[in-house]
Amino acid sequence: MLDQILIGQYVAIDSFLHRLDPRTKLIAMFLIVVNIFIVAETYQYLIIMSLVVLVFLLSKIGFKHLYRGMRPILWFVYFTFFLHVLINKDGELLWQYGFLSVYSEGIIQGFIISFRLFVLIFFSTILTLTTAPMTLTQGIEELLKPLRRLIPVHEIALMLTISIRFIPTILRETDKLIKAQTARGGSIGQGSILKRVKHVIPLVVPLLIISFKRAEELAIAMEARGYRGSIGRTKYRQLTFNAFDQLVLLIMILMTSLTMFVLFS
Amino acid sequence: MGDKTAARYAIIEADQVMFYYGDNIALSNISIDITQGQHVVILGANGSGKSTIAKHFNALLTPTKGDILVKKMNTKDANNTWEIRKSVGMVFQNPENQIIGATVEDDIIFGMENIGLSTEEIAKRLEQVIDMLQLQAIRKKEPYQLSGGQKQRVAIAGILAMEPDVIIFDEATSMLDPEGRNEVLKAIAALINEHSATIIHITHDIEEAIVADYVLIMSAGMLVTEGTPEQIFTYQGNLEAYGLQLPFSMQFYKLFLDAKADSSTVNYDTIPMNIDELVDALCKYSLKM
Amino acid sequence: MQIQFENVSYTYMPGTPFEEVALENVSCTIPSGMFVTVLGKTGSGKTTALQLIKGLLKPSRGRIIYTTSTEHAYKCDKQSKQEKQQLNAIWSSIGYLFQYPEHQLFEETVERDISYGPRNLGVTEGAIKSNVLEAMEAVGLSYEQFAERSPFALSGGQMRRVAIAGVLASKPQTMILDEPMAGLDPISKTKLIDMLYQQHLANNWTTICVSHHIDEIWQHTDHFLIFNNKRIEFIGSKQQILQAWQQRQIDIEPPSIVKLALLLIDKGIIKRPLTELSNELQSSEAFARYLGGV
Repeated sequence: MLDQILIGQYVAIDSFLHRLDPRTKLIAMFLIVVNIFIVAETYQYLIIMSLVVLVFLLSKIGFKHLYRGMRPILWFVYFTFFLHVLINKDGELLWQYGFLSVYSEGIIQGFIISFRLFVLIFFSTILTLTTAPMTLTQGIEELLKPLRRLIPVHEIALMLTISIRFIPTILRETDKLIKAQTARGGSIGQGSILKRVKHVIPLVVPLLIISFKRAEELAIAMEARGYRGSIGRTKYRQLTFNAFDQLVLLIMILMTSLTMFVLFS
Repeated sequence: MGDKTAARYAIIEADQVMFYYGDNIALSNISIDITQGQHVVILGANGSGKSTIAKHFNALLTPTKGDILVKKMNTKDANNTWEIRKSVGMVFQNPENQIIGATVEDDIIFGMENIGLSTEEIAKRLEQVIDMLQLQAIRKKEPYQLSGGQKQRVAIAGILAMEPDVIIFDEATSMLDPEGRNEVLKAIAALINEHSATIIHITHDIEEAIVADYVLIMSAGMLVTEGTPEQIFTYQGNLEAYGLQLPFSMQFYKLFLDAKADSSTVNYDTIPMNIDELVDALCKYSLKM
Repeated sequence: MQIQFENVSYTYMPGTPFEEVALENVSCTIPSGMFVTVLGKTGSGKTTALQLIKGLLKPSRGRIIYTTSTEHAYKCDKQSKQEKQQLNAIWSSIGYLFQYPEHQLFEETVERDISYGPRNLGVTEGAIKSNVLEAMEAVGLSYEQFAERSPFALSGGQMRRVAIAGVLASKPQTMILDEPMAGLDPISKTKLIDMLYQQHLANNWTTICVSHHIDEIWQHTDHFLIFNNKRIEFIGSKQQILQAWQQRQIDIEPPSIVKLALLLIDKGIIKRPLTELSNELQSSEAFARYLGGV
């Protein structure tokens, strides 16, 4: 049951975006975020909106997958909008009912801020939809490499990789544990809050123990296979930039520069 | 299986090894030699120390007293550990907790990356071991999509790719269903028959010991007896005291001889090692059934 | 309790990309009071069937009928509150031992973990104590020595026995065992299954046991149920499965003594068919005595 849940939201199809190097996508994502929060002019918002549409088309991800990916966080966008509408008291009064009042600035600001959030969520969702978790991890590792004297980049990347690899396993074990404790009469997920918390212990304790044992056995297996950190270690899977990556990066850098220019002029 | 008359050298030598686990004496006076090309089985019940001694062979543990030499390198010298680990590969009991990679290919590559092989060499060996263990159909699969037997074969492939001198199977079949167990035993047989590998097989299953060149039995941290399967499996001696049982064919033959009404014709010298030999042995008696 | 499957099908995650059929149109009757051994490869559907019996899964189609003195049906569609209550009572009377049950242990002491089941069932304190005592005795763990110890300080074999005691303590009338001998060495395997069989007899259980250790379990089995590829391939008595093996109708490997008998029959040493030998094939001793001319 639980073991069938898709990890992250990666959809394995072939598209322009899928074929880009993960580093390109990560850098582009970062630059987009910079852009979203700097732009102020209407035409700039329109440019961003067209970028959203263009990226959506290039990803070949259907509406269904996109919506399913964004849904868990979209409520935050709605929430932000309503918050601004209700709290912002600038501009002209548009509507009033009792102590609730809606002002024009509230609508405009609410719209702008929630639009920015929406775009942010859109691009991060597209990132995970078009990039396999392991590829993404590799991209992060490569980008952080220059900092390897300051932070243990290789170790962090390996930890991420191993954690992701074990998610289906842990989900399966959790499912089995829930069934086992339920079979003994322990009602998981039912009853009052206090009861639920009490009944979580028969789940959490065994899972922790299994996880510690797993960590120990994995460490031994890794050592037995000659692992000793990043010393003397080669990497088989190489990431390569191609022309498309360079093109995308160029466009993003240009766009960001223009945005900066507009901002400071 | 290799030229038996050629001079064989000892790859692993254990000399009067003692190992204390806290106050517990886990290993007591163990001396073993493993020579190149041998198929050695270390038999014992749970808690006999068989896995503990196995972990000494690749320097995962070091002796409290005594020495372990791998290709003449002492395991107590930390400078040797790297070389030792390249020479002695180990497949573990739990199929799940030894797969690191996100896919079958990634896991096989992990060990090769650790020992610093070039990209070309890794690519070459990857194809070789995938072929040897027939993993072509599952090479891109993720661990959660694999059966226990498949996971163990992937682990074997990953070790083979490092081209070790010895491969240790530490209870590698204990957690598998019959299908998985057969997969792994077949793979081991292929390694021995087609590649003259040196194999140390740790197990509590007596049927797996019958095909060995040499058997060592451990109990309570001690090496209680050793010899060829023919020498070990006799009707004298008490395997039950060591938490083991005679193989079925021998157990049955013994019961048959005990039940034989006319005891003048019984032959205790015959030791049927498998069911076919048992049938042959039984045929020698005029059974009117 | 008799348990009957009536055209039961089960699909995991229906309507999603991960949809998977685990059981397809399965019908059979598991007789009351017998020791039933369930065989089948991984993925054949047998674990799903066990979990359906215990109510951990709900049939996608068909129904399961439990018969004690009355009949109760577990259906694929919505059921009334009263029906659900009755089903819950039935499920509470079924003990379910998972594979590697030692992984479920979580309490601070052995006694607390064993009493988890009865406590959840609302058994009174006094009865809980006596249930725990009886259960520990049944699995061979002395109360004085083990009750206050942490389950995690014990050996693997002891932890398994604690887990088994935990299931016994709820005084089940039906027992489901999922690979109880997994990972044990030869002597421990035999000891464990003998102990479970003794409990089966003493408590008049209906026992349903999944195990691929056919040699150890052959002696105790009254009835066989074989799953293959999401369906039932065989259901029947020892007599009937011997016939199936003789006629090479099923894939499952027979126990060693049956393999031996088949070889001896092929060689013409034994001139009777396998089905006539069900008494002699009860155990290695019995078959050896038969061949030895006693």
